[in-house]
Amino acid sequence: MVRLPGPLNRIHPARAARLFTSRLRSPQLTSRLGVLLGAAVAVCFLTGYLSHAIQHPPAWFYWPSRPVGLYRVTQGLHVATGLAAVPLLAAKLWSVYPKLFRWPPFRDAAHAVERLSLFLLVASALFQITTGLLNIALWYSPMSFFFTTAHYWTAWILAGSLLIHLGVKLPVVRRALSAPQRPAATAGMSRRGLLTAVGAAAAAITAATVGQTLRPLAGLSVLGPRDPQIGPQGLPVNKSAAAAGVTAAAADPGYRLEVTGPAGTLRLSLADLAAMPQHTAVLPIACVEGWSATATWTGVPIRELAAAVGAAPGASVRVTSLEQDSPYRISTLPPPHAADPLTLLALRVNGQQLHPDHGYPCRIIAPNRPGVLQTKWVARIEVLP
Amino acid sequence: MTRTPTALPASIVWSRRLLIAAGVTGAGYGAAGLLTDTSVSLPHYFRYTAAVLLGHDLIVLPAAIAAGAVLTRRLPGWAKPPVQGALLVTATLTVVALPLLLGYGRRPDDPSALPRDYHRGYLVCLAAVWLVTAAVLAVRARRRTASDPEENQ
Repeated sequence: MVRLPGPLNRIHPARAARLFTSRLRSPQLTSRLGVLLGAAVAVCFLTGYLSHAIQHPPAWFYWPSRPVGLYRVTQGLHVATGLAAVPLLAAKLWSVYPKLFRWPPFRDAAHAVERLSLFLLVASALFQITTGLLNIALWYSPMSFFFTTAHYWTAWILAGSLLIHLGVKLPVVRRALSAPQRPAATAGMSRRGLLTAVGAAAAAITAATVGQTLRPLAGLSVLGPRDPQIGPQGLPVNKSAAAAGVTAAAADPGYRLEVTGPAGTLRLSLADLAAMPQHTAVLPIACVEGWSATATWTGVPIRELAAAVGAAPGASVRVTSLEQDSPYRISTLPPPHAADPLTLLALRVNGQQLHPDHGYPCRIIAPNRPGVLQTKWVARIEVLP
Repeated sequence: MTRTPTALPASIVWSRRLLIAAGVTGAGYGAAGLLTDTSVSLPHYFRYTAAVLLGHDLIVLPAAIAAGAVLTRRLPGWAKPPVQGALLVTATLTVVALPLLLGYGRRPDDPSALPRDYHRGYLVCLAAVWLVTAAVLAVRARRRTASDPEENQ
């Protein structure tokens, strides 16, 4: 582990790296941990980019409305992989920690640039893991920047600096992984023992949290930031009606839904909506924060509302909330979701009128879509040309 | 160790160049986005990142190494690895549990936000980890006395 410092003169920069005495640290160990951590970063980057692209679609991007639970899986995987990466990152950084104190700090210009890229890599990895942890625990005050965009741009920095690191270290990694397996001469844990402990930690963290999206494991996941069974009408909520400032507007008996399209505008009261043919769909709410819960929703299919105002096939539909100050006030249903018969303007959930926190008087629920886009307290529906 | 590219096969040389070029492009794209996106508050961003980086490298990791060294110092060789492993699991589980234990994310208007008793949950997790560790130690101790009685004297 570490030889605790004796006389103070041993803590000289030229000698600091020699304070670390564990024989367990080796390119073999670091390479193995690096391969696993690299795989975890790749999963987080791809699932994270996917979630970003669904919310801010580039021109080339296409996201289907089926299978209904695909986003629930990709985003559940994003958060679960990030959580499981905590012990991997901890062990990886431990395994190279003495190199931080290498003296002199760099040999030449190329080495200085390489160490600068390592600084980016370690800083961005710690940033992504810690901000992700804070975000799923809904603890925003330590992050006095906008989490969503900061986490997104830092993901590119992490992925990029990881590729640079892999390029720089490729010969070392190849040599380490192809070398014959020789046990490390340690006084304590073996290399396999450490990898087992890292695996056990990842397994324990996963079991303790993944029940926030896998309902059968909800009872086991004692550290899940959400419980898919707890909330108004047995369903979690990310933003309450009070927090959104819509309590009065949503309860107003004069509420009318505005539906606009090429054929004109309809103004529908809640009674008008309830008098239309009702459809029922079993769909998950899948939050960007990694929790999800399935519910039975009843309401009017969006494609029938769109057809009533003369929508052409393949149209997109823009939905606006009663909520005033939120970046998620408006969402657009792309053509596959607007046309899907399961996409509802829901009036009821699990057989009851929607609770105000679930979007009363009515909300959007569409298959295969992030919860943040499932607009609540809908005020206006526009068919886009 | 990375200074001998001339001795490497061409495929490796080109893989390295491609990886580094792709990496510079990706990281550059992220850095440019970060610096130009007005929704990211850069002073806060850099302050947070510096705090996390220095906090990890100069406080959390040295403290974990020192704690591991002190707590396993008096253990016999056969008992060390399971305890070291259990300490690793405990430490990383604590990192994940800490924001939940502190509970700043609770909201009076939203009972579904952090709905569980996380202190109890954390203790349950620790109890499970250390019970498994105790079982592993018991097996190791028994195996040791069975196979190598001399060493016990």
